[in-house]
Amino acid sequence: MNPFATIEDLGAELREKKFSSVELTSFHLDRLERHGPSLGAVVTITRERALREAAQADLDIAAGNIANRPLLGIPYGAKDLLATKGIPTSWGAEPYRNQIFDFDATVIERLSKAGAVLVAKLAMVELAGGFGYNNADASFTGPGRTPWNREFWSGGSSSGPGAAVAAGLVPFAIGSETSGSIITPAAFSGITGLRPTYGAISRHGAMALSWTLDKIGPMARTAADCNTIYQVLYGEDEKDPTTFGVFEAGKARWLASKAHAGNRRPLRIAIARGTHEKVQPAVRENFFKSIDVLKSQGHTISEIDYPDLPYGATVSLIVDAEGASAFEDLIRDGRAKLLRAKADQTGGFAQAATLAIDYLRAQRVRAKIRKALLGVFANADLVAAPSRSTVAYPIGPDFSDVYKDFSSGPSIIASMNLLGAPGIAMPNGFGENGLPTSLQLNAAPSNEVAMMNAAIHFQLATEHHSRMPVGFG
Amino acid sequence: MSRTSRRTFAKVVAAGAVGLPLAAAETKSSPLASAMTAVVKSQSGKHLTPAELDRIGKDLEEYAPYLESLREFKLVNSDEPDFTFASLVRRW
Repeated sequence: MNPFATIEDLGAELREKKFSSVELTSFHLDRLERHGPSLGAVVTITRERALREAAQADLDIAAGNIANRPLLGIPYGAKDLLATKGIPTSWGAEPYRNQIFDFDATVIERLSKAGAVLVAKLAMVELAGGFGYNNADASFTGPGRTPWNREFWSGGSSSGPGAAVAAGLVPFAIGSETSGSIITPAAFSGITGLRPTYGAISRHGAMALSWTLDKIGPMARTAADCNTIYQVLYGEDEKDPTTFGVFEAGKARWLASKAHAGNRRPLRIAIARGTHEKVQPAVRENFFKSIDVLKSQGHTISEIDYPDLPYGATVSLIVDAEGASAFEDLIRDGRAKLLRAKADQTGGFAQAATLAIDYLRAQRVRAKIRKALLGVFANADLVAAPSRSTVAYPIGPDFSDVYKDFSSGPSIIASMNLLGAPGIAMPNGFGENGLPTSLQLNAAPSNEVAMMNAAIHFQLATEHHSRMPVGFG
Repeated sequence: MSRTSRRTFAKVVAAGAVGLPLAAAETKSSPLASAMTAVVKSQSGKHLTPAELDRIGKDLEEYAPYLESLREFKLVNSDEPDFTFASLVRRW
């Protein structure tokens, strides 16, 4: 079996009965046990549930119950902030290490219904980074390590999903993003990560860090795989009112996309001035090679002045206030001191001093930011940028002590998260220390279809997503 | 994205926006930071050692200029927050 096979290939092989789901699942369970610890990627291996779900998938395949079930029998891992019935859900944090819910999160439910097989709860930065970690060692499982070079971080806060997908421990994983937690680990781990429109995928059963920013999304080998998973996950959920209406907005576009299946659609792609000038040289070089690919596919590229607004301060204030409220009990009773990272041990106490008037100001500024960014999308279908200004951070030193000469300029990640816009990160080459670099594309809210169309065709013309790290074959 | 990197970004933007040298913004003592540190001590002092309180004070000292830059952003009465209260809840 090929641990780096795509969902599409694995699905075809399962339906052709080249191997069973139980065999495929056992293969990945073994890989998780063998490689998971050295990557800091795994919290809990869900062997019993996995083999039960795989056996059911094999029965469904044998009975021909396979129509419209592209994930049937495919193993996956879930970031350990998604509730799973009877299995610990630790939120990456010592104080919640033994927490057990008696229900599945909506995304887990939908994946089970689709026939996917949960093989592991994957590691994450404690509390999804909400208390201000400044070091890769910010989880009770230790730092997540990128399989391209284990002396470097796999990114956060979805550190386990990034490392596990990149090393072929799982064919896909579910991560989450408040402001960068899918895009960053996808970039540092050299995989593809999709941040959906805010509200497109239910957050019911997911740890809350920031109610107005949190999103759940797939992380996989390719954009096509992310697209497949997304179509299983997205849609309204009565348990998450933020999903209301997003489904309808996206539905027409998805239907339209089926009419365009296989066709490449020429799009207007904007590059924001300032986002590529001060990044690492290899990041910049690979970014413009990617832009050349997009140009060759008929897209129109233009450079724009990005609205000069306080994205960083605004997103920081919102996460500070909502995060302190979401974990108020942890702060009030002092258990925040049990967190792993030094910055996290005190960050929550500082955040709890945020004034209500400042939080409301941030949300009022956010409305202006949203209006300005929708203006950008009036003249462009996509905004492209390097996913990160550098390759992965080394494990050991604080983030603030490395890569001091580089910056991303206007923060596309923060601004797009404030907008609730979808984004995708895709590998686009390698830089320092053999580490991957990445391209991000972003679209207007509910315009995943344009973004995914461009992303899928970008990967049809490139092979970066097919590269495999050494030592994990 | 970590809180620190969010704040590092905010620091660069704010220094540019208000035209202040970054180093000056970092070293200038802020009444706002002192007040916030006092709030932390009042709310959570029983959980914190003097060294931890000192660290929080330094963190807030560094952050205050960026919070102040956000406070300087011009808003008028009609600028509503980016969320909406709904009196009618959609029924499933």
